[in-house]
Amino acid sequence: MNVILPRGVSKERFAAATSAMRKVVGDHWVILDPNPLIAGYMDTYSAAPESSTAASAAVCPASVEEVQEVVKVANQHRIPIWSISTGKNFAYGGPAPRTAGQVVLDLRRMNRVIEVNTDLGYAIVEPGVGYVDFYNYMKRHKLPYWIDCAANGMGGVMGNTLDHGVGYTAYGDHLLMQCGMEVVLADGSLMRTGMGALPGGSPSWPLYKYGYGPYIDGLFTQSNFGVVTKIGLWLMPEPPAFRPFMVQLQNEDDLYQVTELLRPLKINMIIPNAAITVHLLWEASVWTTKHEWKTGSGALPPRTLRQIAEKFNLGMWNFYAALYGLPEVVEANWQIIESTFRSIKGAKIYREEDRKDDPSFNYRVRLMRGEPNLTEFSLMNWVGGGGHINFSPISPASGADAMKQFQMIRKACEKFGFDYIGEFVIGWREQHHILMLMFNRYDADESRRAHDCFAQLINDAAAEGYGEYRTNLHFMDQIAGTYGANDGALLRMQRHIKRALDPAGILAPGKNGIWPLGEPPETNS
Amino acid sequence: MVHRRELLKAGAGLVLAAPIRIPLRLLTGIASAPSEAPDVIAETGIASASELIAAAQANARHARAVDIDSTILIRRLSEAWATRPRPLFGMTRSDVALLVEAIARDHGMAVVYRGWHDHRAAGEIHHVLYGNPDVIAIVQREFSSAGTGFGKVLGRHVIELASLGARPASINFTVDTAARPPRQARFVTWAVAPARPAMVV
Repeated sequence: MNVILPRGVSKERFAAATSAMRKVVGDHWVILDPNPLIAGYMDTYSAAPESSTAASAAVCPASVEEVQEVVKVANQHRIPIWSISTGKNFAYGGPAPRTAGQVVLDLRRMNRVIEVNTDLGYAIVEPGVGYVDFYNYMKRHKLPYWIDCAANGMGGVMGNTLDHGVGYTAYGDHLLMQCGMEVVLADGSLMRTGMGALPGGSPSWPLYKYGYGPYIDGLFTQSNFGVVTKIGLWLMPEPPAFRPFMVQLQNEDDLYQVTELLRPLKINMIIPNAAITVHLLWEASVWTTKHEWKTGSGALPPRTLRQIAEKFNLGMWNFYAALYGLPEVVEANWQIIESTFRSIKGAKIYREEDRKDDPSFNYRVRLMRGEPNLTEFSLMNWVGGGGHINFSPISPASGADAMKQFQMIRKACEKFGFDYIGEFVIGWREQHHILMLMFNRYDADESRRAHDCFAQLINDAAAEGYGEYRTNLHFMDQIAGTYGANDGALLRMQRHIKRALDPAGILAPGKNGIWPLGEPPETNS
Repeated sequence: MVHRRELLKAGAGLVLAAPIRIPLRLLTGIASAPSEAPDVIAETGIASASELIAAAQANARHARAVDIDSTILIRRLSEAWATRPRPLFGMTRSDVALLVEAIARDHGMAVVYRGWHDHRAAGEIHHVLYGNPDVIAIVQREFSSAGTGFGKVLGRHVIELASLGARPASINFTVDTAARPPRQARFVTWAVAPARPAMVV
């Protein structure tokens, strides 16, 4: 039997380390091969072999003190540890570590909502709190606030925030709404950011982000400089009025106009939430599967897309957003919305009551009011098998950029035999373009093509000046390399910080392209 | 609107084939014996669902075909497994499998079996099975003679497939049939089972 070990770690050293970790968390909470639970930490849905990111062990502490002790043990024995909160960011790697053999530090047992302050509208949560847990907590205590969740309702509040994830209410930019952080550093010491650094604890910790001196919370997002054990979050007051709506667009070229019309509405906060423009097939996957329209490989032709749109009463693009606030304000803004989007030829505007039996609109409505749900996982059935990776470039919120990215990405998808399944999530001034690259993971050729398609997309996007905001484990180095201006100054600085804060290089080596000393990416790709 | 309806009646009139039991000695590894009878769910709309349920009823604690709303299913499983994790066998579309596997880990449950079933236009069914090598080898042999009726084979073996056993392995093979692909031509089968207490080396 081949036992997976961290790179460069002997079996004896690994055994000594895991033995010490068991003393910290208890035998039950150190999971080692051949316990079948260890397979639960694999990235089963990406295009690369599962073995390339198979963990050697998982350790599940129940408290900050246990995290500190585990980190100290890892430091002593030079064991790489990869922290996860709930490990549900499937398209980006799920619970798996960056490379085979790293030990997963699974924080799901730390799942307390520590505080919700209803006067000031904030919460403090631990890493293992999932969206459903958080939502249930708010409902159980009848608190007059909404949460904001990702489309993956199974996800974790902290994990999504630290990975720069977004949701769909007016508080959809999760990191923007984060305030106050507690971090275990690589030497096992505990640090609180911002006002939390005041001795005795400051009530302003979850209220004022910046404290005194450099603002550093961002250093602990998409990084490997520490293990975050608490965050503060601002909560959205339950609005007196909520009006979700959908604008159905008949032509793919309408993407240009809808984006141009939307931008001023976003910048002026007429539409306060993360509005989304969703391509036909993303929505159609709630209703049908590819196999019902085409057998064999290759993307669906335009004629078939038209047939699908007609059959399910969907647009080639489908725009969703919502208005929030006082009823009279919502009504006033609604007049602006209607007059704006009616200027698009053939556009149809729907309100919630117009499409009560439409499951795709229904789940969008629920997301826009912060109700976690799992309907979007219907995408896994489009080709079947569940293989998926997300390609997520950022661009200005402009019609020209939206069309350029759409055409560029669809061209690459079709070249490799895949359908374009994408959406634009529009923030205040930029847009996240999310391609859901779906493939049959039981088909080795298709998986390889998906991997190659993704790699080409990174290069194509970079050549046009676009960078991705987040990615799957297997593409972290390639994407980090595209942020290479000034002879790679940004990544060089990140690696300097890494080596200063974590000289032994034990925390999540390779996360987002940040490798410790002696582990350059070219030997780890 | 969520519908969960039992289709026990649909399978009640079918004559069940005699279950083929696997000798305990074949179930090696962590578990010394098969797990308790699993619950079995099959998603309506999958052509093999009713034959799976009919065959599983002799071996399962509850076996039923259901219309699945994934949000509600996962919530109910999470609530049930929070107090008592127990084996579950499913025949569903891929999204349900992904979600069940993900919450299984949260409750100390392991994925002990996966199956991928792909009806192809030429009348072939391509199967990929992952699980206890001894069990899936038996299942493979029976699939070959069952053709499109492989749901019945799975139903007979749900206990063994949903049990912890030897280190899982994968096999893939194609069975020739003359049948046209059903509407839901691609789907998965899977099983999760409690894996506690944690093993330590």
